[in-house]
Amino acid sequence: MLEEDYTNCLNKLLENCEHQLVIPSQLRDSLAKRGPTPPAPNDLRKFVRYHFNGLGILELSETFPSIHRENGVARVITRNVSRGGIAFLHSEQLFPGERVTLWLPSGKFNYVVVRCTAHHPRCYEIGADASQAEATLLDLDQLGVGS
Amino acid sequence: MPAASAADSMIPVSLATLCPGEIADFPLFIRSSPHEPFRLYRDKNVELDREDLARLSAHGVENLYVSLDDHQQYQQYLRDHFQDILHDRSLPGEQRCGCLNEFVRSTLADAFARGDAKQAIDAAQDLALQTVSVISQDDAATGQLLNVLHHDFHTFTHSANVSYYCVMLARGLGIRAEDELREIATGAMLHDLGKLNIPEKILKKPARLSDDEAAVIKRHPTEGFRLLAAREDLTYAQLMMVYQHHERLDGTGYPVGIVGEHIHPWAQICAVVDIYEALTSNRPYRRGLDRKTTFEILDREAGSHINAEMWECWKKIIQTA
Repeated sequence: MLEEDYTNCLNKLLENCEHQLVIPSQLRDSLAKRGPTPPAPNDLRKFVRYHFNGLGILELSETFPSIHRENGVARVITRNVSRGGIAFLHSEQLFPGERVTLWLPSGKFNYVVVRCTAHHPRCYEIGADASQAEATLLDLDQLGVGS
Repeated sequence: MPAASAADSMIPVSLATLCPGEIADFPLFIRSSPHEPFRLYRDKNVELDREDLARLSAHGVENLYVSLDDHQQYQQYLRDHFQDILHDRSLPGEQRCGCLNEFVRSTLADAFARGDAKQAIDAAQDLALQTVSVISQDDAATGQLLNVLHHDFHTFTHSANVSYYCVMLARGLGIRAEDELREIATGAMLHDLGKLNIPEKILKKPARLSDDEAAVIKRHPTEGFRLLAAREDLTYAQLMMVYQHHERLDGTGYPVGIVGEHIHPWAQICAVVDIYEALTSNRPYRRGLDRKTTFEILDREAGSHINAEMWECWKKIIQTA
């Protein structure tokens, strides 16, 4: 019952949120991938990452005194996930240390932004860490991602 | 009588920072060449007058020396007399600018050596006030200050120089409000604060960096942002000077890779003078480049990497100073 309420709520938010994200062509193919991602040079991450492409809702929970943010939520597209964190695409830049909540199909999760890379003026890839948010490390089975 | 010590236990103090007619509670030493031993010039509690300083200057002496053991007393002396020198219009402009520069470098060096971000931030805010005051009071101050700058590879030297350059360029671009110039000066002094979290062996490596080492260095804008973001006394624009000064107009910069107008104008000002300062200063692995070569390099960068209008303005300031 509660899960149904959450799912309905998430779907309503996804319907009502403006589509502001622009996906550059070089990223579109990667959004269909599944399974573990290949390791990258200088990759300092502790856990394996898995492709995890889907829609979610971003809620900004804490920012800094001099950074102005509008209240509200935004649609994002998740890209990959690990036990330690997540990467997603957002239409705005986020700064290291900002705290966010992501509404994903399997529940709400808290993160701290670690990095941000621009792909397009309206497409930023955000890397966020779960451990710094003092949330439990992600249960990938809960998210439906293979281990 | 205090003994003269080995070179590594003595620190140079610029004549510009010595206040004529004042008595210092530490002895001052002199040496005629790097190969000569240090000799006592003035014992502590003995006055150094205007004629003494003029005579030293006429003989080409730029520095006296203080024992490392007396460094704290010298720092206190600087704090006590800095304002007097800065506002003494009877002293040559270059001496007052020299005093400003020595005071800024010395204060920043102390803060950076302690690795204390809060101390560095507080120092930067105080120093910005003095910097803007000197540069704004007199059009000749730009040229006088440029003549007394150091060009070594220390982060505190670089931060001081970039701060002066940012204020000069901002004024050249038409920013004249003193509170805005002070904010720019503060942001510029802090722009490389993130290097406090970079291992010194990488910062001072006397050879080209490896790819891994370069990747570590590239973290410093983000590290600086993390150190400063929670502060309520810094503005968004100042934070962006720290975070975005390595971004480039065509998106090839770091840490985010944003383009053009998404880079804050103050960060664009900082980017221009940051590159100029880095090229014209000595590094552990190369000497500073001459003006002609530096201009050629930055002429190629203008428009694609750095703001062309700002670069042209900076060139004009340097050429006419």
